[in-house]
Amino acid sequence: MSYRKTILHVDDDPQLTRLVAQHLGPLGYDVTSLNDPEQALMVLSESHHRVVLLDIEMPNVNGLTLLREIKRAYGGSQVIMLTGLVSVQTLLQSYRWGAEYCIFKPLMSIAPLVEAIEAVFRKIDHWWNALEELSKQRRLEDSGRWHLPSAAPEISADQLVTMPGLKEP
Amino acid sequence: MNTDVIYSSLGADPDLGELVEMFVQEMPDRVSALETQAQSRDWAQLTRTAHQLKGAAGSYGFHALTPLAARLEHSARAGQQEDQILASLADLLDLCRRVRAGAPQADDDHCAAPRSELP
Repeated sequence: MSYRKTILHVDDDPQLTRLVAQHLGPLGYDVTSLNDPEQALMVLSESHHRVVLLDIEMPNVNGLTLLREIKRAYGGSQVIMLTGLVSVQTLLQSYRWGAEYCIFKPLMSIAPLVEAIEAVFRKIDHWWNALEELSKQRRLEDSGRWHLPSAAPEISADQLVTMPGLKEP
Repeated sequence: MNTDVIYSSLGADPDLGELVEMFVQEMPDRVSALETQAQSRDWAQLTRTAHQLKGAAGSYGFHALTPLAARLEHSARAGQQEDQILASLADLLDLCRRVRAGAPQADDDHCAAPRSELP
């Protein structure tokens, strides 16, 4: 997929957002830094950030609450918590409320964050590919020329019965 | 009093050295904020500033600051005795005042090994 890999980084500490942007920019990510968490939902409503990096402990806005609101309003946005050490309960809530990963500050190395971001964009790629494939199949079906997806390899009857999860006829 | 200066592990990084320099330049503002918050006994704000410093300092390669910032944050958040909070603050400020940009020179034998500062 070719699209802008946009990331919104929400953290009240400008020194942290500046550092993360400096790390991720050269890797091809388009990072918007936001130090006022109260603006996060508005920024998301006016932009197309696919990934959100979200701190938890911020003044006036709790990152967990924000996570919930982001997932409720923009379910397609993938959220990575980038936070200081938190309680076990907070970590579990992040998971239950839809965060993809949790990376802890201080960032002794940027590698875990980059790995998490790459994994999240791979997930987005997968869904976009599925969407494209669906559109293609729909068009073919509508035109009466429906057939197996072109990308799917032809499978012989012999191969089918040896595939895991398929019972022999 | 220890006067050894402290360098970031990222100080010589060609991509990040400039950011480390900015971090060091802004350190007096952080120090000043912590001092003001302590003077006015604004423990909530002091907790927040220590929390930020804990996350940022280690990320900028000043690993020795992280445990001291964490101790101050914990101490202020837990509502410990004032003298305990102020002692934690003094330790942290001492280290904050010794951070430097760049990397140690070959003849710089006063550079503190960051890990040696761990409590």
